[in-house]
Amino acid sequence: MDKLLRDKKVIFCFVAPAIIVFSCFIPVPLVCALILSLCRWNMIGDITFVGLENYRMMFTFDDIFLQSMGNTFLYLLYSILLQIPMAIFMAILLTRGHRFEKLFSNILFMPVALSGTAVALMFYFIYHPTGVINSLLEAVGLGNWAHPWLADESTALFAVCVRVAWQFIGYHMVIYITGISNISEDLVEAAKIDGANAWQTSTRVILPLLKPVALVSMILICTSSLKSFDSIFVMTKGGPMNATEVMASHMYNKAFLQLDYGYGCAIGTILFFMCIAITAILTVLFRDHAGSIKKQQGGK
Amino acid sequence: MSESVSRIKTNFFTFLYYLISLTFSAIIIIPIIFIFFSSFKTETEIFSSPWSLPQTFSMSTYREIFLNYNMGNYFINSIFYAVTGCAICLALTFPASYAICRMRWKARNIALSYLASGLMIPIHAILVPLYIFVNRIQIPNKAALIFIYAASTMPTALFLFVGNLKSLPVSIEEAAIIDGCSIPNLLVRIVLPLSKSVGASVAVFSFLNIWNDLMLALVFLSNELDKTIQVGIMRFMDTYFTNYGYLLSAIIVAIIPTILLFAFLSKQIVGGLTAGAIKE
Repeated sequence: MDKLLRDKKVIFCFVAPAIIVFSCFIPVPLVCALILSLCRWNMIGDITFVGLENYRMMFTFDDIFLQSMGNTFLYLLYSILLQIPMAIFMAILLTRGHRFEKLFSNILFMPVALSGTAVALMFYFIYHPTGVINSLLEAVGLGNWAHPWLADESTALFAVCVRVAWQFIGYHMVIYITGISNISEDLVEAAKIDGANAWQTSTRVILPLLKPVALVSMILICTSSLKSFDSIFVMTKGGPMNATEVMASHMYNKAFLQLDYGYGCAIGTILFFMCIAITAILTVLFRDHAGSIKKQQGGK
Repeated sequence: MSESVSRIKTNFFTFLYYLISLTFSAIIIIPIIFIFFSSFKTETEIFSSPWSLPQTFSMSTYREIFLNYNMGNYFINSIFYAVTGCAICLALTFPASYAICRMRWKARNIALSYLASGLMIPIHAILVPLYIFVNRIQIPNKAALIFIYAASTMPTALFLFVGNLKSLPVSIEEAAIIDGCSIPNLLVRIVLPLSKSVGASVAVFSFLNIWNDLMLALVFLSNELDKTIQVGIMRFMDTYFTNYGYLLSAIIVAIIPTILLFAFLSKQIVGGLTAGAIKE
């Protein structure tokens, strides 16, 4: 039996195709991107090695890049604020043993499966200057709040984030629901016996124990916000006045519209390192916290 | 006395529960229903009477987008990419996960972390080299795209399969091997039937990811006849003149299959889409 499980030929046949396909389409291009980001190239001319020139340009000359980076962080911040508190609240509400919990959580999750493009187009219509939101506002007498939501620099990015929140609150909610249902019943029971009310059990018992799932949900929301492209590309194309230009859309413009491949790769590379950095930072932040709680409990 | 107070309190909380849950569900469902009904309206009706039901349920916009705007073609293309990409992903990761999890070789942990590292790589970072690659070596864009899709869903698929294998008892496989079953045979006859549910999750995850992708399709598909539905529906939106009747019908065509799928397979879809996040 051991011999069968050590059969090199079988192992090779099982693993090699996966490794080869994966390598060709993910890690090898990544290495190429790192190298290309140090070059100047626009498909027609020769590739010239320019060192860190692309990166220097990015941070000193390219105002749109700096703005897109700022917008990306703003997008990230809005997404966290709009989604995470609501997701946790709904998760706690939907794990208290009421009827129809499964149904409600399925309804809230449903938009996650929909295509980002279709949802973005849907909201493009909803945000239309003479569209639903504005006519609704007029109907309830708030006509002067009516607004060209996506055409106004001050509201466009937030409007996009609301659309993203509409789609993805359910996703994070399900993550927290899983986290809550993994908390042992005994702990919650014990708290109740000790006289804790619903609010206290939620904030003092359930919330601290959600740290591990909160880490996962935070990593996901941060990396997906950094990578956001679909809704921006569909709804605003980065406008008005670059107010919604994010890093991914800027990269797309530079690489595929202005055909500046080296520069596009440099932006992609920055994005890659930002994803890694933010994951690392969050992991450290959340690990420390969990550690200190354990210490406290141990101390007592 | 105190009992009745606590009963009122419970009733009140139950009421709050329904109020909040229903409000939230309404926020999710109403826009979709709204778009659905609007899609049957005429262009003027859409904006002049947004809240009323359509006067006549006209299917003309649907007919138009299918007959004159290639919608059927986009639809079939999307299904083709999603099915083939998903099939390749399953066919490659399932045996690999078995070899990594059960078979005995030195580099198996390295192989696992190597493949899993794909989770950390945003597709944006590799888009340009991939595009140049594919154009330089003249492989048909369609074929290349399918493999890119398969490769990009492989890390999650592998995670799910490995997690599932870890939860299966080894004893069944041991017994089969002692009875003289070869490893490939074992994989097909014994492990595969035991991996049905996780296989469904992987399939759903990979299918929906490919079906919903915009960026890769946008970059790689320049030929009108090859375009997917996500790229296709973008043509109905124009900065200067948008035919909203077409746009709304196209949105409905793009989301209805997913909604129907969700109605029947909600468990697999929730499981598949969150599986990357919740490892257990």
